Amino acid sequence: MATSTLTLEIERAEAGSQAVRAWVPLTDFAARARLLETHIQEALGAPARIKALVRDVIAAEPKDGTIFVYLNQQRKALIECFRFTLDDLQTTRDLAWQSERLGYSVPSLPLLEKTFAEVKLLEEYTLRDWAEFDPNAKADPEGAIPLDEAFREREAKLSPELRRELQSRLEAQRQSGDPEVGAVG
Amino acid sequence: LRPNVNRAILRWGLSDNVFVEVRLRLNSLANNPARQLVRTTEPIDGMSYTFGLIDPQNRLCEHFFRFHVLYGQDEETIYVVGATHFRQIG
Repeated sequence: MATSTLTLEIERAEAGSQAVRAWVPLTDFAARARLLETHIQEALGAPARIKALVRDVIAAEPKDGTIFVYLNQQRKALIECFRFTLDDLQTTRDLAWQSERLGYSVPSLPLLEKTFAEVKLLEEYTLRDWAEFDPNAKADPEGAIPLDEAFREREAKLSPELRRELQSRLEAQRQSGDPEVGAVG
Repeated sequence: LRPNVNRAILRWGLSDNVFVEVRLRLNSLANNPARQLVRTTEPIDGMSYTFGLIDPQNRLCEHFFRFHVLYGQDEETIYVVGATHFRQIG
């Protein structure tokens, strides 16, 4: 199940982060550079693991009417997962730079930088627009905006070709009364 | 649409092509809600309208849209009261 996989990923990231922090007092800098390198090799798999998690979350969406509760829970779990993963990557990166400055090379540091940027991007792609569903939402007509009015300004910014295409497909939907007409994918 | 949903959709910063698809899907929902809505249960009661689409400008990016829909007191008008969007890459 997606939730248990998520929990495991959070625990993995949390453990990684704590383990890396625990290395700080180590005075054998050459050994620390080697440990960091080993840890980085595992951390490089973070983007693939997170992508798989998001796939699992989507695939496991319930069909029993609890989808919004599920999505709210998964959102919270993913926020935690990204937080711990990024914390782990950042701590490792900081220590690796420190090690480099002291003259002890960490060869995979450039790859770690790339991984960090990739996870940040994944976080944005996954969570930026993922809003929590409100159990107290009401069907209040006051202030509601009819669909035809809601996007007028946005539609005006479309290219003339795309605007024509939108109008013609809306018209096809109206004429056929079939919501599938003109729909893609 | 509730104003919060309208604002959210505009804030998503969808590409023009993806925006057009979302606009069409919402229109098709308005045309025939019963066919496309799925009932949800406590504590978030109402209906869900969900769909996904592949970004035509980046075939590796898939968009997922989830809408919370409620019927008005006249039992005809539908209100979209919540919306979320997330993307999956690769």
